[in-house]
Amino acid sequence: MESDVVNLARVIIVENDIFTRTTLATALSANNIEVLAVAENASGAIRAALDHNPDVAILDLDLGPGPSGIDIAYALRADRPTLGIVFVTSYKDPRLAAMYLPPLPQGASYIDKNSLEDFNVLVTEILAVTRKPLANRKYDLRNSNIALTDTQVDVLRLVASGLSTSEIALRRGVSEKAVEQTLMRIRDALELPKDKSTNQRAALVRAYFKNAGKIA
Amino acid sequence: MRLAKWFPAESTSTSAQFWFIPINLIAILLLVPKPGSLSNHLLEWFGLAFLTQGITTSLIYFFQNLCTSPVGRVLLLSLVGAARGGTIASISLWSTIQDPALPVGRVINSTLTVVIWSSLIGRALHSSNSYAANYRSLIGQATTSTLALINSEYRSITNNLSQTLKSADSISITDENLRRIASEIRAIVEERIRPFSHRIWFGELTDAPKSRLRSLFADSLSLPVPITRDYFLVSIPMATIGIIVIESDFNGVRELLGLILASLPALLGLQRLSNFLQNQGQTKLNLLIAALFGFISSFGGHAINQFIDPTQSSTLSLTGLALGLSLYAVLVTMFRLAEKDKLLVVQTLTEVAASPREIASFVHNTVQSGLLASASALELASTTGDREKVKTSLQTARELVGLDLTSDFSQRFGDPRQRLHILASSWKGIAEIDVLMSEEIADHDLISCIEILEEAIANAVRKAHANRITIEVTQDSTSLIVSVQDNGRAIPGESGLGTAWLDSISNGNWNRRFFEVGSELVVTIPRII
Repeated sequence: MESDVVNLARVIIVENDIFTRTTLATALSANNIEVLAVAENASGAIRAALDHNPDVAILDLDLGPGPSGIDIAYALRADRPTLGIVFVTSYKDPRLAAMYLPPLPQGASYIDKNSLEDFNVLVTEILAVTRKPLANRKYDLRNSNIALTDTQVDVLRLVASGLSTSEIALRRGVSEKAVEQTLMRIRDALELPKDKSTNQRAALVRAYFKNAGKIA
Repeated sequence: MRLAKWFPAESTSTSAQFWFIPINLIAILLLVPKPGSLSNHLLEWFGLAFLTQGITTSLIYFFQNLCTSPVGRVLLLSLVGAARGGTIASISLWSTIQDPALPVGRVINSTLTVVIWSSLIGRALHSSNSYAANYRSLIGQATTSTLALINSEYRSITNNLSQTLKSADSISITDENLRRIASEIRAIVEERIRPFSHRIWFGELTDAPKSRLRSLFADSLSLPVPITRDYFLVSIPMATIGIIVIESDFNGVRELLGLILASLPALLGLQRLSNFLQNQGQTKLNLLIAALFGFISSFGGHAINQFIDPTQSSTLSLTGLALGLSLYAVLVTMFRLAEKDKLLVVQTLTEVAASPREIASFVHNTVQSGLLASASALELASTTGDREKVKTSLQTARELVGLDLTSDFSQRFGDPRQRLHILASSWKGIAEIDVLMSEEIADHDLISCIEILEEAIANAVRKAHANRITIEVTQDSTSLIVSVQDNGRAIPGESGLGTAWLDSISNGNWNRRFFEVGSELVVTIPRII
């Protein structure tokens, strides 16, 4: 900080997509956020934190097979209990990335990059967690994300991964009828069209990817 | 006649089928003792042979259409066998009643039994072999065709860009040209490659090969026990010549020679069966059971023959032994194949169904992002005039456009050992993961346990806060045993993994134990042998 007084915060970026990683680093640097290091996996993130002692870690949620961004955030916090955490992800709701993820760490900020209209919002968030990394952000997943229960999100995710109703029933240990009922409720909750010109399953899969930020 | 045509070398079971016939026939020719009225018996034999053929052929064609499951195939084979056996027994009985003084019944019985059973068993073994080969090729086709289709689509999308990039070296690299190439890359990514990856996401490009696999699989289940021309050209003429020779002469030396020859096909058959069963992963115990079954059936057959015709020679017992053995082996093999087919197909369908997401991610993350990065770099270089940067960016773009998705994707996602390695190293820093695994474990078996390991590792870290995990994968003749040990906190009752899911993949064969420190999850999943 002494060498460059204009830098507002010192961050590391953990993101497995090379394009997003580079773009994010460039954009943050242009906004006076010092990007100390970028990493694409857990070991890289932990090494970067050890080498550079950042104020904030900016993490993607879905890093492919293996640990999620949330797992890495907890591992980073184990050594630095006051490290600021910002998730920047395409998932409107973390439950869509994987089921049974741990809750977001205390004070973590969650930003859906698809609904990010102004880059300053991200910069402001980073500065906020830098100042008060453990502040209660009153980030209520239920209100700010898709209005589905855990069960509904899990079933939707399984539908989107290509499983049949019977296979979903088998995996969840319930009857096929129960799965079908859940699918109806998801359809109602997401207000998907009910007319005959729409294939229900395709509409559900589309809804999943839309909320996961994979399609517009 | 070219012998090679009738004794093809490529398949053990096909040649076994043909060797059974002449050797058995020669044995019978030598053994049958009395001459008789040639023309009568010839006519009688032809009539009966065609009658048997007609009945069994109709049965096969009738049931073939009904037979769409592996179990159905086995049932059909048994039915056909029973029908043939029943016809032969009736013929034998009828002939003996008609003319008790002559051994016509025995001649016909023996000849038809040997010819028909040899042929049936040979065919059944042969078709068992072709089933296995057929499934493997179907699976290959389904997987290859999915990727090949995607690859050719990618080729057509990037064809123009590829030409532009190829000629980029020869055109003068002006700022304007660089910007034009960059905008062409952007246009193709936005207009063609992005929708292309979405189409893969939604299975548009993978559903067609998948449904093709399903229909191919359904087709392959119809039973191929064809009555082909070799049956008429070889088996029946041989039997006819045999009867002519039988009816002409007899002496004691021939009978001895006949007995020796009759034992030869039985031994030969045993050896072939042994090879066949070993290839199918059968154990010696099965062979022993087969031998027992053969003895019992031969004694039974002998008793029936004695009852019908007390002058029967013991040669038939030997033939019965070989037949009993063969029948048992065929049935066991068919059942095992049925089970194996099912597993293979379930596995393949799951793999093909799971891949669109991965392929689309690959296109999205590697291809799309890489090309956009190259475009940005080219634009930047056009303003800074960095020639070196231009060169490397063009090279990157060329490589991405020239990607062979078939091989690149297979390399990235196809090798389960590689996937397991990536999985273990992805947790590095959070948890140390050791993987102990025998080299002998086949890739297709390993694929089925990766999902379990993904879940088990995440669960051990998240719920039990483990930071050291040891994965051990071993196998026995039928199962893969996956053990995951961690040093986390003991949290009995909270497995985290869906118990219903574990039940479904392991047939309920899983167990979790908790120690003072840590726990161990052991899941046993069936192998695809």
